[in-house]
Amino acid sequence: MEPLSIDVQDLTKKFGSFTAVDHISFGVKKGEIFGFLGPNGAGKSTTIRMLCGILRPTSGRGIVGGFSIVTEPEEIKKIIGYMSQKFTLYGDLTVAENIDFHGGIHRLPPARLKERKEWVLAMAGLEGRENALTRDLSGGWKQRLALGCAILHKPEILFLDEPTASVDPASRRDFWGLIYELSVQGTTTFVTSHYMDEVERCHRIAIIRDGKIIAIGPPRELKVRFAGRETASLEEVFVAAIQGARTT
Amino acid sequence: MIRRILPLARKETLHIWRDPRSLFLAIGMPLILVVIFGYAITFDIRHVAIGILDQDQSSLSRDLVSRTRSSEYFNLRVVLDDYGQAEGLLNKGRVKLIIIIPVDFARDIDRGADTALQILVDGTNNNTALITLGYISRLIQKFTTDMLTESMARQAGLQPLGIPVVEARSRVWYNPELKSANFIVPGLIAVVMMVMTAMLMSLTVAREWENGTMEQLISSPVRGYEIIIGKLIPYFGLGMLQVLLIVLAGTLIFGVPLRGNLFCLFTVSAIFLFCGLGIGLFVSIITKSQQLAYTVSILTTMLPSFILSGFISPIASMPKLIRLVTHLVPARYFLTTLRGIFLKGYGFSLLWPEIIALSVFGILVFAACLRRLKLRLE
Repeated sequence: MEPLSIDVQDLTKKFGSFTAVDHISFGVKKGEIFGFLGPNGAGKSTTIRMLCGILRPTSGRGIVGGFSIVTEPEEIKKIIGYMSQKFTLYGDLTVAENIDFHGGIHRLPPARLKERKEWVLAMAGLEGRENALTRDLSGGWKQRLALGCAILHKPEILFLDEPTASVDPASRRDFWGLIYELSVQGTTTFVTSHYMDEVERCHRIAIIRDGKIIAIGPPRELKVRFAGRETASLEEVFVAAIQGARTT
Repeated sequence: MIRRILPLARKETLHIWRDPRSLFLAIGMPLILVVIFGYAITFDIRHVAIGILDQDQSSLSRDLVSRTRSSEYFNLRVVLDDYGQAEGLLNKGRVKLIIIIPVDFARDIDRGADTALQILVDGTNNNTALITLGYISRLIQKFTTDMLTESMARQAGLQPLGIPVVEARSRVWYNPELKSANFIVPGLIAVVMMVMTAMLMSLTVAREWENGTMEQLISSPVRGYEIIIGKLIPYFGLGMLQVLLIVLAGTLIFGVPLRGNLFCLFTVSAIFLFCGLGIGLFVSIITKSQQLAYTVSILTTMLPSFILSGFISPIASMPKLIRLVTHLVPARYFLTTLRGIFLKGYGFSLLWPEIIALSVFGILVFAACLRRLKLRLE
């Protein structure tokens, strides 16, 4: 069996007396698109930050791309792409300068950077706007540029925290098209969201609430398990799962 | 490692270049401060407004009055008619000092008895008062000596020139005109550079935390020292430009002599810049908020550089405990160095203790920055 891209056991994060992530365990296969669904404050961002090696877990174990999130965060940072919830490009830099900067800190050779830059500009639909200041771009373009910068260095594993939170439906569709394309090429994607219809496109999803995973599996399977029919909406699944978690 | 530092430095340069406010703060502000302070802070005291009440009206007393009138240190503004006017004049600030010649002034002297002049002085500004009193006592001393010489000569039947008098012929070295700009401008360079570099630098890391770009940065393979060096490069360049402009302003506008060598001046300035940048960076790393970083950096650099560096008052006259504290203020060493290079023409051979002190301070601050810059969230 192929080793897992992401392998998490009993991962826990406490902030003082508050437990943000409470003993979660799951695995993500290579090339899989894994959705993390839950309301705001459920622990989605905390989990993604621990997996990226920028937040130290309180306890538990996590392996990302073969490296431990506790002892080898610097190795993890070399093979991942991370797009945080907040818009984190430099607004006072142009589109091209932002791309160059990301290429630079990932040490892409000049020829490779040039080729990837063209690809990102085409993907984001920003050809001809290379010299526009990033802060002047509209929401959807900023989002695609941020994604472009996150995948500029062709990471093995991509972490996206609420990637389409402020994006119009058309851009969102394009965005998912791109994620599928990357998945076919072997990129593993870990994506958080609180939009039900969005995570429906994932291969597998985990529903998280109060720092605990209350359901995990392919969307269709979860629908049958919690709502009794394949045609149910994920919304129904979500409500049923949460009620189930309350009663147990 | 250089491959990752260059893009960081380039990005930081673009931030500065695209923000006219920070460019103005970096280049315009130091010059404005030096010019304003250079003109405003002066210890030169000339033409002090004084008043005289001559109750004696003798030839001797009139001689004294005319001496004050012809002195360039005083401006005899009021000749009082009676003692009652004195309080009003000092109170309103019309004059800073009043000389009162008593009724029996000439008679006492003729009798060979001691006599006294009353000097009333406005002590609101203790510094001015002290210096003015110094001028007055010199004037009176001269008056007494002249009188004594004359009367002794008369008694001995000699020409006045024949009496030997010991005179103190002083020559002032390093600042022959005793111009306070020569003393103040080198000090100002230290204060202004410290405050401006620390303040500008303190905003950089804090801004990245506020904008969330730091989270992006630390999720990349960038190392802490790469971030620090990348940020330092453009601000260091900016700082050296500041030094150049301020030195030019000091020598061209205020005519401060630059006697030492320029290479030594710029080397020490570079080391001092690192101290200022290090303090700013440390504040920035700890506070993580621009507002707080700004306040803390100004407070931690402005006050010590002004008060504890020897800029305003000499360190030697401070209480022992405070004197010990001044050793922690980098501006103290830089100030000594600057005054030495500008006025005395010092070089490395005399300034090495200050250079070592500054280097040690710089190294310690950057070690602290590296320790505190966590590439993880909390």
